[in-house]
Amino acid sequence: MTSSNLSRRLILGGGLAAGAAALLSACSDEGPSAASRTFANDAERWMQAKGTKLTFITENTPPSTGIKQLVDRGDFKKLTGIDVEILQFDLPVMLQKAELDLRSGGTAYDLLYGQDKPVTSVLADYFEDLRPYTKDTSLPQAEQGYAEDSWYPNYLAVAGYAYSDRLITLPYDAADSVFCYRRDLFEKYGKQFEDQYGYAMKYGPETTYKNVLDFGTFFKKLHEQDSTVPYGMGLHLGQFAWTTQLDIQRLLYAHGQWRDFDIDDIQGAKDPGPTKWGDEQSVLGLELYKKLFDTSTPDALSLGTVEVADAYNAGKVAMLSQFHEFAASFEDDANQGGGTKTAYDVCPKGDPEYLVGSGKLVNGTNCGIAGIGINAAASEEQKRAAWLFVVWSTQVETQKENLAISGGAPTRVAVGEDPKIKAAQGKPYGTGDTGRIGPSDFPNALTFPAVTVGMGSPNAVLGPKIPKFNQYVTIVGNEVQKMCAGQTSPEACAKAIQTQTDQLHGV
Amino acid sequence: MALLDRASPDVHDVGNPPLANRQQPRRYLIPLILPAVAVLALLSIYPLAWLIYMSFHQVALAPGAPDTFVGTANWTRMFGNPQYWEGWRLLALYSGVSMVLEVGLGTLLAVLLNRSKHEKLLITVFLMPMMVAPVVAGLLWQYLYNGTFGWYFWVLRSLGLLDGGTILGSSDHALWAIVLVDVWEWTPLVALIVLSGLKLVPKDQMEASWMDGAGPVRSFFQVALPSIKASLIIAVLLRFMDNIRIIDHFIALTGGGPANSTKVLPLYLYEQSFSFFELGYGSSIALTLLLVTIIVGKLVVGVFETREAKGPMSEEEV
Amino acid sequence: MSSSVLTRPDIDDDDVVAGPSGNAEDQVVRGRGARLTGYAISFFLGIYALFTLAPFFVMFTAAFKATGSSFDLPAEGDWLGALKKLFVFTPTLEHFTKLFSESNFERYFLNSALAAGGSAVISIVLGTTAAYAISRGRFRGRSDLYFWIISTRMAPVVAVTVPLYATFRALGLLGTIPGLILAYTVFNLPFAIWILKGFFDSVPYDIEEAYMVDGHSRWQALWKIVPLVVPGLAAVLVLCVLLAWNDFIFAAVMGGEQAKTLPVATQGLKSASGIDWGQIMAAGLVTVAPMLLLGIVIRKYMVQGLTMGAVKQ
Repeated sequence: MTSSNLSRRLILGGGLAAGAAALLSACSDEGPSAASRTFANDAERWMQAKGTKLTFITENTPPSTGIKQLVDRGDFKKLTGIDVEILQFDLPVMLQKAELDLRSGGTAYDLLYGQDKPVTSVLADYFEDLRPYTKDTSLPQAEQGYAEDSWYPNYLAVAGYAYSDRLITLPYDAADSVFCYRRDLFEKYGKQFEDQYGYAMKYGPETTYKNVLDFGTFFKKLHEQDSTVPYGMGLHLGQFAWTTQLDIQRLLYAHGQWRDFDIDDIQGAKDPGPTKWGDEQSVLGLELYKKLFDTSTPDALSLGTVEVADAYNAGKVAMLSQFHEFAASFEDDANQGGGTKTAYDVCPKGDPEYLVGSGKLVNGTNCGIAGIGINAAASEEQKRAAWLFVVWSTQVETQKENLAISGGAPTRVAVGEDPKIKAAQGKPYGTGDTGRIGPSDFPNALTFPAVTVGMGSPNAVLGPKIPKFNQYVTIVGNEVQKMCAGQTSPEACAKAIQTQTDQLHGV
Repeated sequence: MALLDRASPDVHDVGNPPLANRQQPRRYLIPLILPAVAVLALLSIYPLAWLIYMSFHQVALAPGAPDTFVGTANWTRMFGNPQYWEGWRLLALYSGVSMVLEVGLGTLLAVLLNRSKHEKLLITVFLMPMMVAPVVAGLLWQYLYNGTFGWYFWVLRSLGLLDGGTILGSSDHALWAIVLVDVWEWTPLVALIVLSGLKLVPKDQMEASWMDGAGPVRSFFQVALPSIKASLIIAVLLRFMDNIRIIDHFIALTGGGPANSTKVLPLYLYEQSFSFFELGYGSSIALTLLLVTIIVGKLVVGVFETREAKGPMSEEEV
Repeated sequence: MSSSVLTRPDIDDDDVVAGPSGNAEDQVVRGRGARLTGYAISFFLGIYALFTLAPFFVMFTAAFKATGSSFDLPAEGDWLGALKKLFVFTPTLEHFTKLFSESNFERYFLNSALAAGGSAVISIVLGTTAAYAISRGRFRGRSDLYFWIISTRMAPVVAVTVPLYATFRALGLLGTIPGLILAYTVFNLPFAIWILKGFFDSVPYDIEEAYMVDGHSRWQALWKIVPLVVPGLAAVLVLCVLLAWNDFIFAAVMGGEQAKTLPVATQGLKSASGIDWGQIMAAGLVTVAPMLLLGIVIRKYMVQGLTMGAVKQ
């Protein structure tokens, strides 16, 4: 390689980012060229991008694995003649790869998995606005349309928007928190509990965090006498800071609908201003969280979302708030809570004792709703082809197929209304009407009644969508871990989160 | 005796053959060395220049937005950030403790293995962990430490040694748990380097020392240690550089947690650059790490060259 | 002068390095007759071997255990149950079948082999010529150049990844095997030069000189002495393969699906909805086994490679 040749290429390297970015801003407002295309029928409309090749980067969640299986067996190719390569990664790796590429104006990925807060609130500007596509008659459209009520409650609001009215993704994959508990143990020790605490050991939408703390304390004492009985409450504290933030957020929201920032949760805010951490409610909430932690297994600090599920399956904790896609593994007969021994319900309600002021007590529920979106930097042709995949992967028929093979978490309400899936929602259980127990042909469906109520108003907490979301949750995760380890008090913890978060946002 | 000869500058100047080369035409050298230099320049000087540039800028985060020159803001932010200094402290602690253990165990192993009956077999066995991809080693040990499935967790609990009930979940234990993985994987390297040093201690010297009535321990310190001292220094510096370079164990085992108790500086850099895309700030951290590595590297090469200047040890000349 | 270098027994001999005969007890404990010391040594070596091998045993067995209850631990303190759990199970190939049927592990294996092999070969070829030139050359800035070359290997991987990423994209090398080969060459080439220079330094100049006096060119002279450093070349080749095969961060950032290597694929089996340890241990075994075999086959070269280069005496 001659030296002039070499340096030319190097300059190219540096200049590329700027050039691509300019290109990007040039085309982001245009939308698809609806133009002069007419098609005789729907089949032709689907076939319009035949021979294209798309790349889709996604997290390795069960629904993505299900979609990959459908693609691999040729479902999408038969319909459209398009080849799709699906790249699956652990969420942090997926984010890292997508971010490296998008930030430097790359087009390595046509389709992007937008996990609402960790991905879209960070990379929103790099996603194509889908609104023009939904109105383009030369493109295939979803039979169910895209209205808010065609999805599970709030899914579109969470996944679809960030910082503007641009529709950046359609809901593709969901993880909502539900309460899961060992009803066999609740039944077995119910009498003993009632003798000690003076009320029935039963769970329902009216059960509060204080009750859960009682249950946990009770189990922990039992465990100390008989090590085959699980510890109390399972928590999300390991390596994955986001789920730690979610764990504590639902507890805080349950008490007076406390939110991390005073911003709109659907739009989010690029400049969120001061955080609410450090106020009295946050301190009281942390105190409660610490008490719950004290009922948990001794290795709770090393348990993240996956590991706490393992711990539950191994009979180490008696109950936990968990994302509803885990029901499939909880129902597995090989596990301690398997074979209908687990009941599913909405997350616990706030308790007056832990409420500051006169806010509402709700069943705080949160989620990670991942949408599927299109890389705005891709070529017009690629973007149109990508839209076909967006429609196909989020439509009812595909999601039903997917649910059958992967036990995924559908986003379309109509999927849950399918008679087969309705029948799979199990038997009512507990003191309210959201609790369910198996058996079920589609175990995740056991959680749908709880999800529908939990993700609706006034229980659902959707935000915060902020550009530095990942830094923010890292701060929360670290400080909460320090508090649980006994290094700091709840008050110091709340203040530490406040100081660092405000510093992060230049407040 | 022979030991003294070797300590003095050697006339067999093989390590440094310039005498013979003075008349070398330079044009032969250039084509020989150029391809390597070109590849390395492309892959190191250009990134370095970019790194320096980024450390004085806020690197564009939104499309179309140019990089903003921020002067020394990244640097002052870095030096003022306690997490940065904590990262150095943890790195020093981690490297220091693993190195003491690795050098101690490695030397002991080398001495015991040297000329032992099963030397070949045992070396083959002891070298196995070195062959394991560090990230796989991390996953494997994460499994062993796991509170639900992990056998090491189970053994420690069963022996009553783990009252806290957690290994990687404890801010007090997690770093030491990773040190153990480092020791497992890299003690063999130290043993290997020391062993090769020991091989060069002439047999008759060792025997003479024993004849004189020195015990094995004393003859080790009197005869063997002086000649493996340099090997040891190199082993230590190599390990230190690799501790800065490679963070796979941390990524697989703790990701820096719990509560930042294992967030060594290179991992902090990784987080800032690849999780938060604070590329300018990350570049400042990277440059300070690079600087320290180069200083250490200079020391390695220094030790190396000093020994070269002294000439090769003519161990097998009888 | 040391023409003896050419006949160093440790180059020709099958042994690690030739040493006096005798065994450990003879050597270390002689004169004291302390049988106890001998036992203590054996005990220590035994414990260390256990420490070394136990993780491999766990990885190996876990890779062949069916997902589910065979992964449960016995009750704390139930040592008998533990032995049963560890040794008595029905082996299954389900994890391996899954790796190769659902996860493309054969492709990742090939990617790893190509990337590691390719970079090792390039490093050897460029490294040999450069090391020879540095060893024989006499020019200003020689030692600075040498140090600069070595220092490129010292760069923290994380530090150079972002700029390298941009460079690679500009050159169209992202997510390609040639890209990985080039990235691995960044740390393999300096390593190769470092070690090979040591080898060339130990080859006396007389041979080439005599050869060149006969009217041969320097290139021919280089070829003439290459056979003398073959053990070194073999060692460097293997170590380069090893270092590249085991890399994680470069491959994770630059690799993409087309150039995904085994360590990245193994780490990728961890997901947010469940960790199948049997699966991960099977993948780990697939990643590690070739290097273990290589390590056994080339043990003696490896000892030499490390010792002559890094600790040239």
